[in-house]
Amino acid sequence: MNGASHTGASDDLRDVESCRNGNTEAYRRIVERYQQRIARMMWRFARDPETHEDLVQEVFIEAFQSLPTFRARAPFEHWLARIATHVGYRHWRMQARRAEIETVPLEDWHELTASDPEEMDAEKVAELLYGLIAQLPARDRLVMTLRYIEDRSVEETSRLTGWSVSMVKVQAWRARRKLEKLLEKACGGL
Amino acid sequence: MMNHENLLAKLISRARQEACPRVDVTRRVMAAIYSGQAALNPGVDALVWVAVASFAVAAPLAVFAFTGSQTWVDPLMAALVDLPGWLI
Repeated sequence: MNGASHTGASDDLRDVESCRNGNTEAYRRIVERYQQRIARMMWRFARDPETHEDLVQEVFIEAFQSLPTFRARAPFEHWLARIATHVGYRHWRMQARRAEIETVPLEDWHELTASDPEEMDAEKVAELLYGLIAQLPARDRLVMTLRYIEDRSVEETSRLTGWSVSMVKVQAWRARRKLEKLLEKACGGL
Repeated sequence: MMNHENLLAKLISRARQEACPRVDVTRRVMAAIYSGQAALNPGVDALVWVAVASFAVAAPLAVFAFTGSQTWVDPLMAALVDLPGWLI
C-alpha cells in the first residue's frame, strides 16, 4: 500500500510539474486519477446529480488555476481535498443566500422511527440525514459533514477548513447538539 | 425507544454506506482549460516579486519624506523663536 501511494504521489508531482511547464494534457491524468474520490466528497455537498457534477468540475478547474501555488509540502490529494471543501462550502453559502434548502417530508421521518436505520436503504437514510443537516447553518453543516459523516480527525478537519483545532472542536460539539435537537423535533413532531 | 444520540449515530453509520454516483468530468474540465476559461493564475512567487519591486520604490521615498518632514517648522513656533530678538 505504501508503495502504491508513493507511486501515486510521484505521479502527481510529475504531472503537476508537467502542467506548470505548459503540458496541459498531464492534467487529464490528474482528473482521471482523482475524480471518483472528489465525486464522493462532493456528493455530501450536493445531492442533485447535475449540481454534483458541476461542483466536481469546479473543483478541478479551481485546482488547475491554483497549480502554481501547490508547494508539495503535503500530498496532492490533501491539497485537492482542501479546494473541494472550499468549493462545497461556498456552494452551501450561496444556497443559503438563495434560500434553496429543502426540508424532508414528515412521512419520511415516520418510516425512520418505525424501523431500525441499519435495516433501511442506505440511500434513503442518507437522504434523511442530509435533509436534516441542511437545516443547519453552513459552518455547522461543514463541520458535521467532515467530522462525523466523513469521519475525519479534528486535525484533518482543521486543515481542510482552515479553522483552528479548538474552533473545530467547539463548532463540532455545538453542531452535533443542534442536529440532535433537530432530530428530536423531527421525530417528536409525528 | 432509541434516544436521539443513538439514532443519530446509527443514521450516520448507515448513510456512510450509500453509493455515490460515478461521474466523468474529464472532457468538460479539459474543454474549459483548452478554451481558455481556466488559465493558470500567477503563482505566489510572481506576487512576491511585485511586492518586492513596490517596496524597493516606496522605501527610499518614505525615507526622503521622513527626513523632509523633520525640517518643517511650525510657523507659530518660528514667530515665537524670533520674538526675543524683535523685542530687543
